Amino acid sequence: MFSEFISALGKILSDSGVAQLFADRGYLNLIMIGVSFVLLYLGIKKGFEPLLMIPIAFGMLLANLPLANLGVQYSDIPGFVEVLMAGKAGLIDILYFGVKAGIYPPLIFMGIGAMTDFSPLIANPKSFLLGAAAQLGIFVTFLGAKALGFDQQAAGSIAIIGGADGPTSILVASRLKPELLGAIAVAAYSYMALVPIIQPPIMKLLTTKKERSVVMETLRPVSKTERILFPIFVTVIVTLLLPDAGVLVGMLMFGNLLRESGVTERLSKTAQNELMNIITIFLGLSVGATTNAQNFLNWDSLKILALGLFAFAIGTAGGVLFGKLMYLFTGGKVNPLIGSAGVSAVPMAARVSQKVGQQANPGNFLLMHAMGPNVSGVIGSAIAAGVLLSMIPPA
Amino acid sequence: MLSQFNFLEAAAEFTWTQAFTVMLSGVVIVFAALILFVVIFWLFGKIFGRKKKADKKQKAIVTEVQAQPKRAPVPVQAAQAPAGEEEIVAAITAAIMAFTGSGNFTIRRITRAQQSGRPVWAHAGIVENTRPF
Repeated sequence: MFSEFISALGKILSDSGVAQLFADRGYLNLIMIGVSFVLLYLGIKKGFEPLLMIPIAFGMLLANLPLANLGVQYSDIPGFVEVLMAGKAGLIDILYFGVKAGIYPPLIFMGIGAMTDFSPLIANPKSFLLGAAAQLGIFVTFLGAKALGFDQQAAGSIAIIGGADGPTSILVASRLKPELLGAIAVAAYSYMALVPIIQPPIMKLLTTKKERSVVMETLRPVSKTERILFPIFVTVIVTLLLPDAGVLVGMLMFGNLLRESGVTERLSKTAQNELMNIITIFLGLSVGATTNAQNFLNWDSLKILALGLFAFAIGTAGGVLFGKLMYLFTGGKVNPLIGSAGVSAVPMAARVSQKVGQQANPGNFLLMHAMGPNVSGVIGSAIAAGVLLSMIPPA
Repeated sequence: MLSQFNFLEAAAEFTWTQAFTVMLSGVVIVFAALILFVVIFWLFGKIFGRKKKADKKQKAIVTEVQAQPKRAPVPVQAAQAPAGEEEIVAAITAAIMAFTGSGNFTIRRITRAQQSGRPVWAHAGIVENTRPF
């Protein structure tokens, strides 16, 4: 009887995840678990966009614990139906459906719209142009990705990192190249957290102290009517021009209308808080769970990391250079530093503009002026995503 | 609308021409859409912007603020606060500093706004509620 007990124990052990780690190629899972620990450290200790980094990191951890079947098992909708019908769909598979069907990113955008005040943009519509210029990072990175050997779906998914917009990147990647979704999400959120480090050197390199010291005139007050009409106009115009951008921009503006209408306070509150939090948890966890050793531990991920940095840098440079152009055209009324805020990391990039501006001219208050390009960048990156989705066919 | 340009094959290889096409189209479309918005919301400003002049009548304080710290400092006599009003002047100065985020100004003059028979806060409330839409 004792020997049966021993052999039963042995069987349990050999079926366990630990045994798998030491099976062939099991060490790769171990490495992925290690990577998830690093990301958890970055999120918890270093404050790298913790609201998303921690769910993503934990999803990565769960997916790479062998035999627990907590990784995503499909990469397209028919695959999901198959897994579902076979009765093999786990928690993560169900949660990932929202990513694959492109539901979560627009809902997050709705929450973002409910949190965003577009009045600095309405008060100074020229800021729209700075939001456009910063999206240069996306399209130049598209070329860069091709140069590094990626196919067009991968190039589009990587390029959108330059939009500095998590939900946008996830939407595009989940449609065009889901294998790279994990690496792209990690890169996007890491660089968004690093904006205060990446941007200032580029901003200082491309501007003179005189330009950085420009004090901009106070913004005009924006009436309630304008703030109500703004989301409606933007939705109609963008969706008519570019239907593929309609889902992101439409939901962004819907959230904003909930906020500005004044009569949907409870909906606005829910969109900004509970709903946003729920979707963030589901999104982060399931995106993290798409990562496995095959699609993460390869040279592509390193290239994605490099291209992501490149994208942010080019976007910053594009915004600042266009800001310089506006400085020249307006006879010195526009501070080029607000151009870098066109990179749509709200409100981090605007704060960076404020900080660099204050270094050049203590007492200069650029924050509200920089918020204009900052929120315009959100719209701009959603439009850019629409362009990529409409011009690049899914694989 | 753009699907007519969907000549990019779903092939793993794609040419530099195709890549540049995407890049140029993207930049052009994003700029075109946002330039359109610049125009539209600039028009908004014209339609709704005349409100700004109406607001000036409601300001309770008239101050002159030196906003450009680069200017060679001209010795300016700061107004002497009338006795007993110093705390009000201090409160006003602090409010301006908090609002503008800098201490680079000198208060030259503070005058009381038109008395309209109503208490100032009631007046502000009426203005807020009747501001033309």
